[in-house]
This record gives sequence, structure tokens and C-alpha cells, in this order.
Amino acid sequence: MTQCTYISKTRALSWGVWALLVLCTAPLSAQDQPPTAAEPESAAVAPTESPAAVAEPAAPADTASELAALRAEVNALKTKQEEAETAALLAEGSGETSVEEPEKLRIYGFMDFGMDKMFGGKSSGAAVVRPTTSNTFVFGNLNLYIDANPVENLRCLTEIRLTMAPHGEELQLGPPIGTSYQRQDTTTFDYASPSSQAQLRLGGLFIERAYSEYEFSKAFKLLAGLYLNPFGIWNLDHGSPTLISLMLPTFISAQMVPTRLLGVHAYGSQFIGNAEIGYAFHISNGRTPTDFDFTEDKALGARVYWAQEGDFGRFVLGASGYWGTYNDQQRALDLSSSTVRIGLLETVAYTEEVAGLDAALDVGGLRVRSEGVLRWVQYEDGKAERSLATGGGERFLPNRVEFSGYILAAYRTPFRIEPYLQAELMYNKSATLPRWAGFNAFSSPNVAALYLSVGINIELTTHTQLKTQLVWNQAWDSRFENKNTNVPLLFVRLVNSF
Amino acid sequence: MRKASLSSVSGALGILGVMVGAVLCLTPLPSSAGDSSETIVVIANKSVGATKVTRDDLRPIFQTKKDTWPDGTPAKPFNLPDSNKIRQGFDAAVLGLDPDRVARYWIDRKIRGGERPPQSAPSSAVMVKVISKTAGGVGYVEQAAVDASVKVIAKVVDGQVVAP
Repeated sequence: MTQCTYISKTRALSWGVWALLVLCTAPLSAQDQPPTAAEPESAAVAPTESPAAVAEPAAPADTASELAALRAEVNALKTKQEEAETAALLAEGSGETSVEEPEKLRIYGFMDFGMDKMFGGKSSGAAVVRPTTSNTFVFGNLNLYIDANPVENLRCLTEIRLTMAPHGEELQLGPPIGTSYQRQDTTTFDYASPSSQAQLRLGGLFIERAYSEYEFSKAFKLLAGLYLNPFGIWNLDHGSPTLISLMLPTFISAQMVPTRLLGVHAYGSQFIGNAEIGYAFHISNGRTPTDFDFTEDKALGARVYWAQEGDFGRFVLGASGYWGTYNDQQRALDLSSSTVRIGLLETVAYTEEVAGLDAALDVGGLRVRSEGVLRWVQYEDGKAERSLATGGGERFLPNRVEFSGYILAAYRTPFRIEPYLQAELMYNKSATLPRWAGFNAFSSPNVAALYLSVGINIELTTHTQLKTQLVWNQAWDSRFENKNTNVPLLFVRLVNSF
Repeated sequence: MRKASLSSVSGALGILGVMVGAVLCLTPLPSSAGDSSETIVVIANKSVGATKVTRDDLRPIFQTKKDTWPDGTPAKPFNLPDSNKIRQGFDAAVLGLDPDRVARYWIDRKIRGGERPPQSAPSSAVMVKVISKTAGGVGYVEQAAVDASVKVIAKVVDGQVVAP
């Protein structure tokens, strides 16, 4: 009760102060308008120095006090004038006398276009998983960012990829894997066209991320929504303009760790001397067959890193972790009684733990990046994923440990040319296959692979790069006995950011 | 089989070589990092407690990774326009980047989803005025533009950040 009285008194007091301030400043409002950006300072100040009161003669007895009052008034006006000038400098407008105002809404993005070439090996494993072995032009990424800062410290970021998919995706091959060949066709007639034969090929929108973030401080930012998993280096570098090589590391392409998560994410960094210590912690639905989570178990993830920057350059050491469960289920209606019931059949259930280490080094023009990822998968009894078996048919995937790691070294020459070398080793019991493999997990038998790459990136302008990567892919079965792929692949992309 | 594999590899390298060679002919030379002979003065609002700062203090503030001074008070950086020679000299000394690399740096930050670069003042005169009126403000101008409304906390001489 006492506290309530205290609060009401302090509120009344603060309202009183505000009212007094408003009353005091009201008569001056006509002179408070900030000068326009183009106005010279003297012109803006001049009116404030000639109020009518200055010209009026004061009574001799009160001269000193009135003079003091007038001086105080002039000083107050000068203060207000300075505040108005500052406001004008920081206000909207891009004139030569004002500071560029941060935009509340920005739209930007990147796109890439190029060519893929697979040399020989039409009967190789690579030919099986790639849609064609012929030379082909490729429309790669077209990603749009909608980046809004409606109020200070609040940010709403959406990144959308525009894609030709799913048009052309092979849904089923002929026997023995499928019954008849099927390919996705999204062609539709353009009924709005004056021409009755006009056609459209519908593409798709893919939401890369969409979240709202509030920055309490550099050490604590909180975001909610769909975000990129802060696991290692590559998944956050993310876009073709920022990545050094073109082909994704296997731990990302094979989704050894979920690349996007729906949930809440806190992160930040703090400087201790010259060292930057950063962290991320997130809780999410985790890996799910739909956008919903079928269980109460939420996935947890964390990352810590140490970055040091100085005259030598910069290095970053980081460690990431992810723990989650995956559950898939089928729903069926039970109409046997008077009350409709929903029956649930859990078909897949497993727990996964993923750990990763990463390192980045920038010294002069040299850039080195390396990441290693280990994943443990443990199924519940009878709820393992199905997989395509060697020789046709299917099998169930076992509990397993998977590994993937890469090291990449690039050197930026002074001539805007950056050659690089990359090596990647992957050991995996469920390599990703296209949808025609016919299983929910789209998985294949055991596979181990080594990728060796050489590439050159050329910076044509600050916004345009020509990127190339020549990859030798050598794959074995899990006992490293039978090779099933040995073909070079060439990727070329013209990458623009805008 | 091995012969076929070798020929395909050499073919790939040949194509790559021709493409790279063609593009090299079109590749512009790197731009210069500005005139480093002019003394650049790092200025701060008088509310800033620090009297002298180092490159390591300034770098994270102008990378917008840090928004406080070593004493914990807020820091608000301002840049001059990209094309300004003073800006280029400051970036070379503090960030260690030439103008192209600075542009790439902020593009990369943008694509990753990182913070925005500091606000820009269009001229040294405006820079001095803004810094003098912004609590925690920090910027840089040529020596001749400095007046008593701001404090000098560092200088860039011959490409090195030194005490004022």
C-alpha cells in the first residue's frame, strides 16, 4: 500500500515536471523549428537573438535582474538552437550538411549463375546422383533480404530464396527402384496472357531465415523465429558471395546437423582486452519432418568461440554442439466408437548428438578455414529409418557415428585473384540421395568419400565475383574397398551481390 | 580407363585455364588505399573518458562489433564517405583494409546477417559538428578541420595509429 502511494506520488511528480516543461517550452515553439539542412548556421541562429523583449526598455530598478533573465533566456535559446542543429544533422536527408540516416528498411541480396560440367563417368556414382552428366548452364541462387529496423535495437530479417524448384525434380526412376519414371512438372498455362498458348513454369520460394531480433547489448541479443543454426563457420557464412568455394561441405549438404531451426536463440560477444569471446545458445523444435514438433523434447544447441585480431591478422577458434531428437509419426482416425479418436503410430525415433570444432585464420592475403563434425545417432528399438540397400531392396539404418571434415586454404593476391585448395573427408552411413530413392530419409548404404578441390575466385568488382571449383570425388564403401566414383566435376559461377 | 580419366582431368584444367586467362585480361588492378602522407586526427566527443586510444581500441568500434569504450561508456562511430581519402587512410591504418576490401567486408557482413556499418558524415566539417554533439561519438578528420569542440584521442601518421 505504501509502495503504491509512493509510486503514485512519483508518477504525479514526473507528470508535473513534464507539464512544467511543456508550459515553459510552448511559447518558444515557433522558434524551436530546426533549421533546414541547407540553411547557414548564422541564419538559423539570427532570429533567436532578436526577441521583442530585447528591444523593450526595462525599468531602471529592475535592469540588472531583467538583464540576467534575458541572458538566461538567450542561453536557453542557444542551447535549444544547438539541439536543433544536432537534430538536423542526424535527421532525415542526405544533404551535404547532414549525417546519413540509417534506413529503416533495406532490401538487398545476391544471385549467381553459371555452368556445371562433369567429365566422363556416366556409369559412376556421381552420374547417379546428379541430374545430368552433360554441360549445362545453371541458375543458382537468387536470395532476397528484407531487413527492417522499425525501432532502435529491433531488427526483423527475412531471407528468401527464389528457385526454379521443384520443376524438373525426378520423383521416381524406372525399375528396379521405381515402377515408372516420374518427373515434377510445374508448367501451367498463363491464362492472363492474350495468347492462349502462353505457358509459365512455376518456381518456388524457400525461406532461408525469418526472425525478429532485439539487441539488449552486444553481449546479449535475443532472436525468435527461423534462424541459421550457429554451428561452425560455413553455415553462417552461408551465401555464395561470402563462401570461398562453391560446393557445400558434406556435413551441411547431408544435413548431419540441421542447418535451419525454428525456435529462440540468444547470442552475443564480449571483448576482454583484444580477445573477443562469443557465445550462442538456442532452443528449438530441432530436426522435424514438418514445421511442427511432434514431441515435447526440444533441441538444444550451443556455440562458443574465441577470436583474436591484431597486427598479425585474425584467428577464430570455435566449438559447437547440438542435441536433439527426431520423431516421425502417422496419424489415423479411429471411428470405432461414438467418439472420434486420433491414433498415432510413431514410425521413426532417434536421438542425435553432434559436436564440431572449427578454426579460421586470416593473415595478410591468406585465408584458412577448417571444420570437423562428429555425429552420433541412436534409434529407439524398431524405429530406425529405412534406407536403399545395395542391389535394390531396403534395409534399416543402424545406430552409428558419422564424420565429416574439411580444410581450405585460399590466398588473396593483390590483383583480386584468389586461388584456393580444399580437401574434405566424409564417412557416412546415410549419404543423401535424390527423392527417387523412395524413402523418407533419402538415404543410401555406407559411403566414405574424399573430395579434393582446386579453384580460383576472381573479383571483377566489389559486387561481382567469378568463382570456379574443380572437384575430384573419390568414394568408397565403408570398408574402403570398392571405389564407386572417380570423376572430376567443374563448377563455375558468376556471383553478384546487390 | 586411366587414360580416359587423365584426359578428362587435363581437359578440365584446360577449360579452367582458358576461362581464367580470359577473365584475367579483364580484371582491374587493385585501387590504392588513399594518401597516407596526410595526418589524420581521431576525434571524440568531450564526454569520452579516454585521452588516447590504440588501433586495437578503434578497430572493433569501427567494425561495429563493440559499442563501448574501455571504461564502459557508450561509443558511437561515424565514418566519412567511401571515396574520401581521409576515410581510406583511416581504414587502411585501423582496419588494415584497402577500399575494395572494406566494401567486400561490409557486403560479407550484410550477407551473413550482421550489423550495419557506422553512419556516414558527408564532410569533415559535419563530422566535427556531429562528434561534438553526440555523446560517445568518435570519428576522424584531417588536422586542419579540428576545433576546440572535440577532443583528439589519436592520430594516424604514416599509416600508423599513434598517441595524439
